[in-house]
Amino acid sequence: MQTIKLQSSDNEIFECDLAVAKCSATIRTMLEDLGIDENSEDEVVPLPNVNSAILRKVIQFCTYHKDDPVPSSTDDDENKEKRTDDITSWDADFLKVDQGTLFELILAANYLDIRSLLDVTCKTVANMIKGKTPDEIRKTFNIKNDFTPAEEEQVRKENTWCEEK
Amino acid sequence: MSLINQPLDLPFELCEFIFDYLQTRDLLACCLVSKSWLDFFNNSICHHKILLSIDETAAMCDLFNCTRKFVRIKLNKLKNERFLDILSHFAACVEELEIENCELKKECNMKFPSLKCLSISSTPAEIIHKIFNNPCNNLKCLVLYRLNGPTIKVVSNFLKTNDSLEEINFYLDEKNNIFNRDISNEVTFKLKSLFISYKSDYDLPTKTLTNIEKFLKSQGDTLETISLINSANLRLLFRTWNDLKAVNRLYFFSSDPVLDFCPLNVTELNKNSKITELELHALGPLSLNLTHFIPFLNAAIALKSLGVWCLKKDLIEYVAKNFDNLRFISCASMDSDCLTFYNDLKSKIGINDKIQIHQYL
Repeated sequence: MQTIKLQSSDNEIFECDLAVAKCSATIRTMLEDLGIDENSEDEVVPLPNVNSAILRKVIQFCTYHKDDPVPSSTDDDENKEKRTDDITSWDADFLKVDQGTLFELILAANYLDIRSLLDVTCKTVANMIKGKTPDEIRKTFNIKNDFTPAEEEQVRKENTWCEEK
Repeated sequence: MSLINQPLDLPFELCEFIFDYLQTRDLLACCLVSKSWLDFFNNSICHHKILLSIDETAAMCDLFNCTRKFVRIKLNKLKNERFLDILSHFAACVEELEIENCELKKECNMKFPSLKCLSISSTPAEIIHKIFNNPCNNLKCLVLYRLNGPTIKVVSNFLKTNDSLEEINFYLDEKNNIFNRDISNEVTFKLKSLFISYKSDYDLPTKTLTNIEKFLKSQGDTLETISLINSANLRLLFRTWNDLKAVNRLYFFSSDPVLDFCPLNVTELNKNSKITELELHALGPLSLNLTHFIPFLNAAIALKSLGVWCLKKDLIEYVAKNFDNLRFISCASMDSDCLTFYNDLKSKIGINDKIQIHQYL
């Protein structure tokens, strides 16, 4: 099995399967652009935007999902209502992490261009908001309410005239 | 320690990606979280999911202090000054405007520079005239719902001058029938989507059908989505099929039984591999049966999604044997043993076993 070395922002080297690393479109492009072929065993791919703790999690995710089929373009219909209740139990367990790590994973998935990881992490954050009152959302993310009572009342009033699309 | 403590600390486009998973109720709650969250909604695409619906009661309230950006606005039963005031307050940013049962007698200028979609229902001609009097260069979609005679005239004149329209939805009846004339040579726009609905009890005159047919054919190179409502329109599907070169979604719905069916021979429908979605619905005891479906099915060779009113076993068997790309059938009702029948069928060779069947009623 062919492997590749990935270097995190804090200079830790991770050796992983080439197929796992290629879940990332960014790494795929880097390998092509840098001319690193499958026989270049000593080459290291630098990933300056991902620290070792996050890179370890990303590799764990890609190892589990490396054989998943690539979603077709028809699955990505923008008119379709986007679901958040279809997270598998493995993914849900994988994402039982603190909020900081979850947000770092979103950034890493975006930088490494791993669509499945980006989807599932963003869905998880959306689920932390769904069905909650403004105050519950504030508590979830530790946000201070900086509206004056009059401002809040105005927005609340406007909200009563809003309808579903 | 992460520097990101909440969604809004992420880059803007990632925030939009997260909030795109939320529905209106949750988005409205998000607007009340803090000023920066409200500010995010004013600047993001999320506000496209929120429709500000203003009737007389709402208009009496303090909407003029509203600093939020609403791009989708519905006005219902507003009159004169109140109607104008509300409109002018949101005129600069409104992209989708619905006007229902509003009145206006005062002189004014109605300019909506960002307007992309206009929906008008029971609205006097003078209001529409004032809107169309200004350039509507961004207008792509027009929804015309049961208009009166003078309004139809204003709309017809507008259609002659506008070349940016891509989508029109016509809800028509005998008093309000834009197709009593041939408009196919008058218009310069090229539509991508067309919806034509006639009241079910209106027996379409032959002249109207001919004019619709000419219009469909004149738009055939660009029309991708076509929806036809009323049983007489089914004949139009046959007559225009070979001219609809770009169509990929085709919907037909009739609340009446389809009695007189097309006399054309099956072989006269060209095979069209672009069509991926086909819905053919007709209600009542004389609903569509397999014989009605076969000409369309045999022509739509690359079908991925099929919608029918009542799903029967013979139709499942036919499509499962002949349509490898089909993945989805939706129906309002089905024979009680349809699903068992399909499950048994799957074990046989040469059967498409990847079809999901969804009953929505």
